[in-house]
Amino acid sequence: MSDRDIHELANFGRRRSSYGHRPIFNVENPDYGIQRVGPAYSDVPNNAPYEQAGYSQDYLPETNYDSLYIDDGRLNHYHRTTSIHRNVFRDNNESSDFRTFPLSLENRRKWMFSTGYTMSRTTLEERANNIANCMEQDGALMKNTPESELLRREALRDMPQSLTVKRIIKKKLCSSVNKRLKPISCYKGLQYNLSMKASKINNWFKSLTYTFELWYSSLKVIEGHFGSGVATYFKYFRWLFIMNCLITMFALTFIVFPQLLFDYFTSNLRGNSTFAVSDIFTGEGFFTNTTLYYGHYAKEFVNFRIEKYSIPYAYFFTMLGMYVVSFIVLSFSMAKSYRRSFIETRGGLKNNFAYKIFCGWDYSIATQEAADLKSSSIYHELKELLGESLKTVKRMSWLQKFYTTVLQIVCNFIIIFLLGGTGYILWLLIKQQHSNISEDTSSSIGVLLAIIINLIMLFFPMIFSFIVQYEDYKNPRAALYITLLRTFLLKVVVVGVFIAFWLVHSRNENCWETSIGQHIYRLILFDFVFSVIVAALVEGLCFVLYKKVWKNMGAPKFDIARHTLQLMYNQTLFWVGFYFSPLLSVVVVLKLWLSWYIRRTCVLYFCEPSSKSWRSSQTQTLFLILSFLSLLLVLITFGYIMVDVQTSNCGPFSEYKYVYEMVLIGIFRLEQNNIFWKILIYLTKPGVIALILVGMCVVVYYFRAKAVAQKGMVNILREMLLLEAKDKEFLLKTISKVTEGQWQYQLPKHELSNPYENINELWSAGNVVDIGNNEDTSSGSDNLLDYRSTQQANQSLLNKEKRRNNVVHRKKY
Amino acid sequence: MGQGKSQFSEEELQDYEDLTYFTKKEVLYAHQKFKSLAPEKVGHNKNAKLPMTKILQYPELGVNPFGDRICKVFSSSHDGDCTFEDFLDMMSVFSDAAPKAVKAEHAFRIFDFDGDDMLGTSDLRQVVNRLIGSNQLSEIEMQHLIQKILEEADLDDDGALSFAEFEHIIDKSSDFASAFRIRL
Repeated sequence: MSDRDIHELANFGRRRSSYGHRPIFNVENPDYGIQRVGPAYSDVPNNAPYEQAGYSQDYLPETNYDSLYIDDGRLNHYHRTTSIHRNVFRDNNESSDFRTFPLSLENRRKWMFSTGYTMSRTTLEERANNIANCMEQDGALMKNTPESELLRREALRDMPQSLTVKRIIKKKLCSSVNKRLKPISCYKGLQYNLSMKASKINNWFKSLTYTFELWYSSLKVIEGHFGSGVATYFKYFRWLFIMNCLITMFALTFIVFPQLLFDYFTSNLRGNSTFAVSDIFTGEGFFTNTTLYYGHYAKEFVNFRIEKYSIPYAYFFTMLGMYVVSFIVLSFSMAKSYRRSFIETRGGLKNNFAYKIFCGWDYSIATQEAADLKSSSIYHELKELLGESLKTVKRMSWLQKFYTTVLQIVCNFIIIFLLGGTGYILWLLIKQQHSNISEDTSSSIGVLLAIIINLIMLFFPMIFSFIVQYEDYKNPRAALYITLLRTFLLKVVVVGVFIAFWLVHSRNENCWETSIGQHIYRLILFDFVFSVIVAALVEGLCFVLYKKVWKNMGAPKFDIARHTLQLMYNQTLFWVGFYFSPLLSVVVVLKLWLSWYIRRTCVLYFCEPSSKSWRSSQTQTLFLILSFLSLLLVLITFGYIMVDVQTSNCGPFSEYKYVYEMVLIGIFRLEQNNIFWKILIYLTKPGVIALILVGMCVVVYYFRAKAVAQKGMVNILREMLLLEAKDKEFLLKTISKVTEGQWQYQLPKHELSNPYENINELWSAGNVVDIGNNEDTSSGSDNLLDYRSTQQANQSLLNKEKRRNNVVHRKKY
Repeated sequence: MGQGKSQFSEEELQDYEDLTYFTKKEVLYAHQKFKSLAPEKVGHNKNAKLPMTKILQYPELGVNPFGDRICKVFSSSHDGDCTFEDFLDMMSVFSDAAPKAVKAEHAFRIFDFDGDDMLGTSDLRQVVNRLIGSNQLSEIEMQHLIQKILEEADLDDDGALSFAEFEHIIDKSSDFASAFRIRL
């Protein structure tokens, strides 16, 4: 280590120690170790206030500090290490990536501190000059290349300085870059131009999305009134709406429009039944043979003048494209959200209090009522947390634990029973409707069925949240997740029974695809009636009651979880129904568009923000995962339908027995004796499949073993980190002691007499790799003061420290 | 937005686009918002310096318990009075596009009341007091709370949070970026 490094370290120590006035390594304080376990901070010097408040003296050290300190000791320490080493790692990892390198916070802070941003005495120009000078030292920033230009721009943009200063700096840097201007080669010039164009296009695109941001002002108003929790629901809503709009666009262009043309050319215009108002609700009658449903689509080509347009292929590929694209989009956004809210923030020590304080305020709040509500909710949550931390942890008795477990198992059984019962009754009902094939009653029973299902969807979640109250989950979030999961299962059961019934009975139906389409249509329609219109009316009624009749009731609260699940249900129905009814996308888009305005009005006029805070990002991730799962289930069902369910004698694929045959025969023109068929048949033999399965198992086992090994490696590295951080921390503290803080402490005579002995002790103590033995080393380090001549002391100290490091590391390997 | 356009040169807009997280259109929109705080003053001079009381009329800042701190942190003269550039800077940091690290940097300065580049106990106390508004925590509760925060976050045991420690908390919080955000 060079002298300069030592100097820097010393400075760093001084900066830190000037803020920590508390004597940590005080020789005169022999109880240092005890103090560490006890109240560790000088702000709580004694237990007197606690005694006054009636807390008994003896439980304090145990429950309050001791247990916490020891329980979290390792965790705490791990984090300490990461915090110290982050900076190092950051630079190591990212220096290869030119874009991020000067963005690293250290550099920016360095520029800032070198100019002393805290001192407002300097004028803006001076400050700008200083920073610009600092930046000019950095070679990577000052090249005349597009990368460097981008780098400069980003470094400036991320710099925590006022815009005026940034503009001055920018001007200065520009001029100094131009001064160093060297003629650039043709290739470089081209590169430069291209990258400038690219960033221009990027900006243009950004401004385009900004211009067309849908429902911008509504979202802003909602955010201002209710904070970002409720806004996440509306953002999810908007996301779904936009996705469905795109799907509708494609469906209309590639499927519906050609079919309409075909109808026009062949004058195949319906005519078989007349329109009745009730048809809107049943989706039958007039609509049965229209472009609304699968059954109407032609299996032929449309003859345009020049080109033939095959409707079956268009139908198949548009559907395939839409499903695959939504699947990819959903899985990517799920992965992103999961990474952000679970993986990147994982391994946190419990920062409950710090989160509440530093991330508690929702900056998007814009009304006084919402602000008052927010501060009182923060207040109550803090109170609650404090109460919990002051309470002694109640140990549950064996009997109590047993009771809770039995209760939970019983409740789960009840839920399973309920779900099974619902599925069975549904099956019976559909069967009933199916057997009454005579026209009139069938459609009315169909409507009844849709109403019943929607009522189930409305009331069962309430039952679930009622049951979960009695299950005694410790964590309210766990209770929320379990209710969500159960509701999700309910949806899977209902939709699953529906599809399963029709697939089983598909053979003796004339056009089963259209039938499923009609059912889904009714479900979606009545879902709109019940969960949007009726719910809005109920909310309005509650609000009127609250205003006029009974104040204690409280205004209705907006339940984010329930509403989001309802949206998801709607989307799942759409994914199921879209294949059977391309125009359903239009219905869904209209429905979403209407319900956006109804919801928005309800929320703004009738609802009050909930007093509980909503940890949005994690629950949002859960919702995304659930929607992903439902789409996955839908896709699996479609896979099954394509491969194993015979098509009926209507619709675009009626020429083929199974849908997949269309791909193989129609598109690849494969005959029965083609080599491809032979390979396919050979591949699907049991022996080959078993072989493949075994092979996959081996691969999975290999990856698993690798993962386990890597986990072990991670642990080893983590421990090494711990050691290194320990060393560094020790070193910094010692240096800061030697260089500055310690002059004021008088050392006892006997220790002054023989400094070397203590130093030997120090190093022998330092070799013991233990987290909690600071006090051993501290007494020794204090005696280093005898050297007085700081530079010399530093040098020897560092050498020894280095040697010690080596010893520790060698031990490790 | 046609009105605002006449007040800025293309070059200025380009500068703003380069130095903030906004596009040109958003810059103009921000200027509209700024203008609506004091129409006459800004009408004369597009970069007029508005006093803090005017800036605090912006709804999100007005109800924010740290409104005055935000103004002071972003004000180039450090007294809370903001020019349009300061205001634009503020909105850019609070926008969706600003990275977490930049937001954390500014949040730290907002919470650092005494300006010593550390969040000490007095800073924490003020933060808590402002957060809970008209409600009051008892002295014991307050001490306990502050001590808990330090226990959780003060990794080097010096009785105050340095920026690295603060950033570490923010890094581990999935909700910070969505909370520390003001829609333009």
